[in-house]
Amino acid sequence: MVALRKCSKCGVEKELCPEHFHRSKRIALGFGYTCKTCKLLALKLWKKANPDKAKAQKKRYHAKHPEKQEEKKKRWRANNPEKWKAQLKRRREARKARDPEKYEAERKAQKQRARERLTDGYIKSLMVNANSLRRKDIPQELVDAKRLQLMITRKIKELEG
Amino acid sequence: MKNVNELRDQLADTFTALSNGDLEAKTAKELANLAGKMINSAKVQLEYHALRSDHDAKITFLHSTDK
Repeated sequence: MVALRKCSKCGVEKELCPEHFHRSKRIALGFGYTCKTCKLLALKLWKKANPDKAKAQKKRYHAKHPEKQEEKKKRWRANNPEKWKAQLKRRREARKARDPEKYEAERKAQKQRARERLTDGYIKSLMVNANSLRRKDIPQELVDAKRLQLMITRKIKELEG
Repeated sequence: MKNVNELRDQLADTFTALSNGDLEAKTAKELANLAGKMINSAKVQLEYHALRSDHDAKITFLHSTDK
């Protein structure tokens, strides 16, 4: 026989299982008195009524479990590549609007770093054409070969002074 | 150097030898120049297939399974 419990808030009788009630060791039969729907609604209302407290609580939780937050972000980025791209673009534009000079300086420094480190992105940018070849068409092996060729050329220049 | 993997290995050896002083700069320069020609020729092939929108085309030099 399936055990039932009447929710103390909404009064609806629901099956006593983890689907409808949160677990509680202190209460009889191991489940709470209020159903999950009512609990979540109450939580939502509390968050709305106490935005500062909710924010502080969230901050504390993220500080305590940074790996969980990072995992969540990673999952979202993988599942929403278009939204992620748009978000990055928005952030970039906001940064540019806030301080155009600083933004340009940072961009220049980033480009310089990429040139020094011979990153994949920099090497691909040397190889792509404006009209036909795209970055994703270039295989990694070719990028590696190009990188080595550039390393040799730079070394020769360094040796020749 | 029949494929890109062999080219990469050769270039890595060249760079090591050049850094250790076992290879003359002139020889290394010639090798780097030759590698540049090979890379550019592979790039032209890639461009050709990209222009034809033939993204699954196999290029022997690039898609060889020999490591």
